Amino acid sequence: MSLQNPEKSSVRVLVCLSSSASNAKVIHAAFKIAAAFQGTLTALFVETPAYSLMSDDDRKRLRSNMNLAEKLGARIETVTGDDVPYQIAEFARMSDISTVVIGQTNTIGGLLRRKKSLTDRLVAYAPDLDYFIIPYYGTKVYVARKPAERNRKRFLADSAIFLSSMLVSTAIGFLFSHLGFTDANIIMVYLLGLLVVSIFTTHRAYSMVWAVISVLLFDLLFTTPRFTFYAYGTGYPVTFLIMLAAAFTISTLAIRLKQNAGQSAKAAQRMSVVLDTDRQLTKAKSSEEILSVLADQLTKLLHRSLIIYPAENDRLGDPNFYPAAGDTIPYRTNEEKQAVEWAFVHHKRTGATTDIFPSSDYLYYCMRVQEHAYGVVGVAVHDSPPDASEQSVLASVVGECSLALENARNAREKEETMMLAENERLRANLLRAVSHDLRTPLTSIMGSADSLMTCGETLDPKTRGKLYSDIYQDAQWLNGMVENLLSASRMTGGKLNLNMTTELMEDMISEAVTHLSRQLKNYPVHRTRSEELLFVKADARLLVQVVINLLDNAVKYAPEGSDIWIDTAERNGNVVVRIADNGPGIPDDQKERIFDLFYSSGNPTGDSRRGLGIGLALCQSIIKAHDGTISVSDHEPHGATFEFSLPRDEVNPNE
Amino acid sequence: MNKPLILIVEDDPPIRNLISVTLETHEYRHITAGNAGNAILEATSHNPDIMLLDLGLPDMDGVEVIRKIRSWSNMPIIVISARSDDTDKIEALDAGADDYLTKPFSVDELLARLRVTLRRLNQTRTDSPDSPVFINGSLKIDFAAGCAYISDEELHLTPIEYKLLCLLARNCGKVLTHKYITQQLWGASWENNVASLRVFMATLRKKLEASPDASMLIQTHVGIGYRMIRVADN
Repeated sequence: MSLQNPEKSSVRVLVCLSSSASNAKVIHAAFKIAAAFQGTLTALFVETPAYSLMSDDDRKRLRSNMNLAEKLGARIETVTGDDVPYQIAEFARMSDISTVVIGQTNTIGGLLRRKKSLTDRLVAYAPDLDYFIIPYYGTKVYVARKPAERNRKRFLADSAIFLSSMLVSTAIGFLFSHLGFTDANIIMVYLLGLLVVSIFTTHRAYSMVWAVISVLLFDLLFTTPRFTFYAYGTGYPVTFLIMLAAAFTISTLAIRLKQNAGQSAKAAQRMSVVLDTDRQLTKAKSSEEILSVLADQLTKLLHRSLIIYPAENDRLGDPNFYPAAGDTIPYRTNEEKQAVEWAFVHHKRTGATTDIFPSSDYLYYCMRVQEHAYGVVGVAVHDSPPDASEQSVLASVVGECSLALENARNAREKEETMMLAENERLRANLLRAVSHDLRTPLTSIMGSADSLMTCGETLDPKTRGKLYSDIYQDAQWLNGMVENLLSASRMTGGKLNLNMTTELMEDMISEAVTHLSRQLKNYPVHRTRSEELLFVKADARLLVQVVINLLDNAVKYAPEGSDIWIDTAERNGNVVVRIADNGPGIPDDQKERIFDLFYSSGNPTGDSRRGLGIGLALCQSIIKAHDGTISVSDHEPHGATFEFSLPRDEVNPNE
Repeated sequence: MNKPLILIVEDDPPIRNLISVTLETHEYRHITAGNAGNAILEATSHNPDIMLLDLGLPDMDGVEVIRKIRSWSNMPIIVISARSDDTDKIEALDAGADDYLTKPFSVDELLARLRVTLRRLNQTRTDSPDSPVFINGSLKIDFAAGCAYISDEELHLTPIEYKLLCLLARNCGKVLTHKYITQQLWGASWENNVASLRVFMATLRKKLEASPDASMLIQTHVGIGYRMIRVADN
């Protein structure tokens, strides 16, 4: 039965991650629900401004919760925002989530200091989702706490800002009062000072204290009677109250503004890295390029050392190391190697911050698409694990690159298949042509030999001589054919099969002429040599074959007694060889097709013995493989001229 | 001189037959062997003048046969190779073969190679091994004086050209591979210095070709090496 389960694609379960220990219970529950409905599971972490204040223990717990969710097959996502339920609702809407699994405590802690519970507000934001609420009791809900030692320096700096802005505000206040400005101006100055404090100090306590102190100072210093906390004016208590309220409001707004700005800057940077990765990946074609994009982007994003193990033929290759500034190349202990191997084989995250080989110094991600792993990326942790959103971006960049690697592999495979098919087609054509064309000379050889064997004595010497020479010529034709086929078979392997050496062009032409000496007996050959030594980088055998084929072509198509000219010359850094005859020449309409495979001129019925149509095609592919060109033109007053040119090779002899 | 004895080592009966018939009609004495084992046996028992050796034998690689023969005899060996690849010929030449024929070969070609080899054989028998003067047609090399002459006219050669000419002369009639020549000229570390060799060979030939009867003295074997031909005395 291959009917699709309609539930399968429709149920998408979302579970919210938190740093609480009981979150694991919620994740397990969500996993069971997702499994029951055969749906997908997504784990979401909302990074609030309070996140930066989280203690190390809580961070560790959050990470282990994330790992748990990942192990259970959840997709991990991180969003940033102040309003947790709103972010969850938005994410659910964007990701087409159908079911939300959420944990609920009996106490609402600092993170959610509103009256309504998170769940209530979430339901209000997204009423059309299904909710599963997993209750837990007596668990610690995170309350923002400030580690003292980390903040000693910051405390000093904040206090300095606090005191100096207070002094400046008060000084300006005195100046204004001296100049006889109204109280409103002085209040404004204090509020301005408050704004400065709330923006430049790191904790809102400063702004709160400032709000109270500024009201007290104003009362003490600027209201009559001065230097007492009394105030004669009937409106002053109201003024103080409004001032206090304004101060609180301003400080709250300023702090939120500051946090949002910081978060959006961070989010924007991450988003731009992800987009940039995307853009660069579309340009990258080979897996090497993709891996270098990955390394670039992750270094830009994380400022950490990276180690990338590419996979070759389902085995891990040698790693490339991309050190961050000031980091050293890691000593790859056995444990690191095992962590890498494990990540590769089991398609899991391993190393630092995970359960598998947690003591290693790197966090390893497996680059995979479904069941195929393309390598392992290691990120240096060095005791400062990447935070949740870094991990999420990391995962998405790694995911993008894995996809790109898969695409590259698919493209490569497709190309190989196409090449194979093309080769197969050529081979089939060649076999057909060969088996057909070899029969003709073989028939003649067998027939002639048969006649000579059975009735050799009765034949007159002239006929006998004709039969002998027919046998010889056909055998020679077959031999030439075999030479060409051998050369062609060496060409199919591409440039790799060429045995390139520095050769003297004249030597190769002489070799070809010697090889064909019997055929060339009745064709006077005129050679013009260059005064210089013309060297080319070539596969000698194949290049000799080119000259042989061109000469053979002239012999085949020009009547006996025709002249053949062979010139070599240097032209624009190329060695140019011209082979011309004064035979009938080649009609213009055939010149274009003459280098095509299996094209043979004057061979309309396909039964002539003139050629298989591979000789010139082979010449062309050999010359092309040597980065040269070949062309055909007319010889004056009649005849054909073939010309090929190859890059000249300069030789500096060692004495 | 007696009719030379030629050992034919070839596993394919038609080709063995063809060679036998050819040799018979040209009045050479011959013995045959169909495999490497017999070849070595025949070589040791009859001590032939020349060996024609097919490289593709059923029981042993032809190159191995050359090495075995060379361990005790300097008899000229002409290898016959069906493979169109040059590497096996080069390997055979480096192992000590004197010349090669590629299948399919014509009867004329076979006879020409035999004549060249016999000429060389006769020459080396008459020459004393460390004769101070080498003469081949119009070419004369006076090893003691370090001079070379064409038709009694001194050739102006660079040291490398002279060295190259002497090397070819000392191995006259034998095909020398690029590898062997470069090793002799520049030492083992310059083994792949074939490009330089071609330059010196080209300049040396240009100087030799100034005299028409010396123009064909050095043969090029594309992809394999060079050979100096023994010119018939007359």
